Amino acid sequence: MKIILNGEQQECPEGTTAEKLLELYKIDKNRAAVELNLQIVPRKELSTRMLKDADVLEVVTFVGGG
Amino acid sequence: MLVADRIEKKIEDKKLKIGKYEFTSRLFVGTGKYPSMKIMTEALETSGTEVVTVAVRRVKISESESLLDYIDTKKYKILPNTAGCYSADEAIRVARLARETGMSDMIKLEVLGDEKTLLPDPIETLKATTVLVKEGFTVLVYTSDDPIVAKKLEDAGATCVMPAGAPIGSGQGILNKNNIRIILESAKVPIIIDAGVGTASDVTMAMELGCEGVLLNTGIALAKNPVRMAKAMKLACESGRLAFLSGRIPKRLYAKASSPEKDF
Repeated sequence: MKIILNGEQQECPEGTTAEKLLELYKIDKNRAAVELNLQIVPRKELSTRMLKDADVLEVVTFVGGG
Repeated sequence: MLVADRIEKKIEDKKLKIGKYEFTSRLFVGTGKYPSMKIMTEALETSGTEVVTVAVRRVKISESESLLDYIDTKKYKILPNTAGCYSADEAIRVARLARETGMSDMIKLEVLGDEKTLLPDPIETLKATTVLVKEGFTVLVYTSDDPIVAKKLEDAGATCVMPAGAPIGSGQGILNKNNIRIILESAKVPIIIDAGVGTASDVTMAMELGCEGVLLNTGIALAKNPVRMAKAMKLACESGRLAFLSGRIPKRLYAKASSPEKDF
């Protein structure tokens, strides 16, 4: 299925959870926050939240700033 | 106990309290714009800071290096900002995302009015403060040096109010000491000078006025020698605080001799 991850279209297998997606892209879930279709996914739901075709995900982390 | 230790103990300062958090260092330091990560870590270490600000941005899929590889989160409290937000809604979204990382419930709330001045939008800032306070965030809010706005942000429940000394990154120091004085006079929450600090004396000035702390980034990061400047800022912060607590002499128009009159 196709999803939009941080503004870019990506392919991921059916039945992928939010947590699995982070693993797939080598993103440390302890340093990231996930928004799915503009709704924040609570950390404890990352492992159970199933993704579906055309989902829009934003995955953010911390960068240098003042 | 040695005499020197006893004296140190006597002049020891109380800790800086920001909501449920306590800090010994009164200098908050940003993590942006350093020449390298190595220089950043050395500067943070040298500054003695216990609170570092960070920004929230999209994960870059292709990048393997992370800022957090260089920041010991056991040593430093992370203070995420909402930099780059121009409306209350955007800032609230960023704050919620920052908290969901599980690293911090503190947020440096900044809602900007325009890109040229980077001055805060007071109306949107107040809106966002109200919402985030209700949601249980520890809100440290960036504002201008306007005493009325500062008061309204405090009344809205901000844990800490952070007036700018001068525009972000401008290095102009504290442009309106009188406004900062007025803010300090009535504030019941900590006042931290955030932005505009260019050099050590600016930090000292803020602390001598009675501010509870100073937050800076560019002044250190873009100095020719950031690590040395970090040390200067640390000493300046401590000096200014000590001077404030000591109670300075009043200014006089005319001289007053320090030695007794000659009597022979």
